[in-house]
Amino acid sequence: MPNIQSLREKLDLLPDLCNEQMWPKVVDLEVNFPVDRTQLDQAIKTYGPWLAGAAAIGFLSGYMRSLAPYYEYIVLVCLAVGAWAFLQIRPHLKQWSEQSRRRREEESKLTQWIREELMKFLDPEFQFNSQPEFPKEVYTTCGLFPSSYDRAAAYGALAGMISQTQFNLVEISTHKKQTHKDSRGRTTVTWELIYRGLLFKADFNKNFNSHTLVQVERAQGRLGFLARGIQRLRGAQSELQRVKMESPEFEKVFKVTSTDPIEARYKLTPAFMEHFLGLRNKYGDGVELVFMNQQAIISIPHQKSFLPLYFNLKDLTQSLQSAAEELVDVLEIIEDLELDNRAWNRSSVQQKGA
Amino acid sequence: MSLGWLLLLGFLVVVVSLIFNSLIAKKNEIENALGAVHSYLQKRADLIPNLVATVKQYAAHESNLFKELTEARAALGRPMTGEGDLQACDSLMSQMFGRLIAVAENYPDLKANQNFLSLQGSLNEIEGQLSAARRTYNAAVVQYNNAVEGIPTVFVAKVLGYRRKAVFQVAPGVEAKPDLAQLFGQVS
Repeated sequence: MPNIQSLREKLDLLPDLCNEQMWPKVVDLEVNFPVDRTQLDQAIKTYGPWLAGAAAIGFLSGYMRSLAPYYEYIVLVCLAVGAWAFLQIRPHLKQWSEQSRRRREEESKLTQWIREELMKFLDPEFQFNSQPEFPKEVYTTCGLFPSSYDRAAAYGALAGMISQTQFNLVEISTHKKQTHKDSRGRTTVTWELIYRGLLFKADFNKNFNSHTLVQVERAQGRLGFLARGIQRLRGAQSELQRVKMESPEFEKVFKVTSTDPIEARYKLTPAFMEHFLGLRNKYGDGVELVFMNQQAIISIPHQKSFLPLYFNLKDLTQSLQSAAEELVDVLEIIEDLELDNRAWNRSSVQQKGA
Repeated sequence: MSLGWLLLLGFLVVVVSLIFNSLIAKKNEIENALGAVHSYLQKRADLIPNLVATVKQYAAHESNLFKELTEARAALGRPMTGEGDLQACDSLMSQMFGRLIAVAENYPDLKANQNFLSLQGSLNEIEGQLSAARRTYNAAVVQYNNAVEGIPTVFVAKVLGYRRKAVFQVAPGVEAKPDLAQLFGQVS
């Protein structure tokens, strides 16, 4: 079973894998599926001016018809010249377009293969899915996001084990539809982004039954006391209670709510709070966390993908190396938060308690 | 009595009622947290018979320690007069468990015993829960103390006879309790 140290050591061998196994396939792709624009460029160079000239003269004649008494004939001649020029370019355009389409298909297959090989290389047990289902249940029940959305997508998912800790990460985005009507009664539709980023799910190393949320404290500033008062009133109506933690630094940036304050403190030990603050420094202000169903679910909002979805085939080694490093950095969350710390075995305790 | 005075009196009644309710809520929170501490202490104490039975197989001559552990467990069952008693009980039992683990360190066969490993796992889990319950109690006490000593709640607190409460503190010597995870390594 890999740990972060062993994954980092494997990264050093990645250039070899790339040169020995992947690069020959990229060369094959270049040889077997070339995209040649030379003939198309030549045709455009030769017939392009005819086409452009015919279009310009035809347009001007039509536009200034009062000045040109025989403008219908001029337009007809221009149309004929334009059609002739286009027919000269068309076969080359069609050939280039067909070559590009086949190349894109093959590139897509090759990228998929490289991705699978990379995952196998990191750990044969890792399971990567480039078209996963949107994790609707987790998204709507975790409490980190507004429960309603109009459009949702998942871009990639990876599951596996690091140091005895089962993990699952998925890249998602959700949007809300906004309809606006202007003064003339015309309707325009825009899509407002709700969330774009990573959902990182990992087994938590402690036994618990409650639901605990660690969210960004937005009730700050001069009117913070008012906002906190409203939060308290809303909290009184929900099952989630506000839990004030001992760490002033943690309290300053995060708001903890839980269905069980004692279990919330059981999960959020002083050491865990410190590690989570470190994670916030690494990934930015929007990092949030929820403990539910014996798992820790972390949301990391980000515009770019943490999973290797695309590679630059022209500079494959570098592209592969940076994608793999980013992925290992994300997986390091397990060790950063000490989720792999199995000082006691949860399953043995569960069996005992059963 | 004019309307102005009536309004003022009504306002004062509302304010005093709110303060009264908030103090009662804070006191109840402390009692609730104390109840949780007691329950986890009891849960930890319930491990003693099994632990003693397991350790006895390897270290029968440590009878003094077993006797003290059993007495400490019995003490938890007696009626408590206040938080101080519970804290004393907690400290005593933590020291006993510390000694028991230190004894186990001398017996490699015991350290490898599956039953002992499982008990050690349970003990670690309960220690974590107990620590969380203590922290919850302390957080409730801090809020209560702030209310009892702050203005304007101090006036109502005095009328009710509410006094400052002490937070749970780790007894001297317990801080040096052996680290179970370090002692037994990672349990797979």
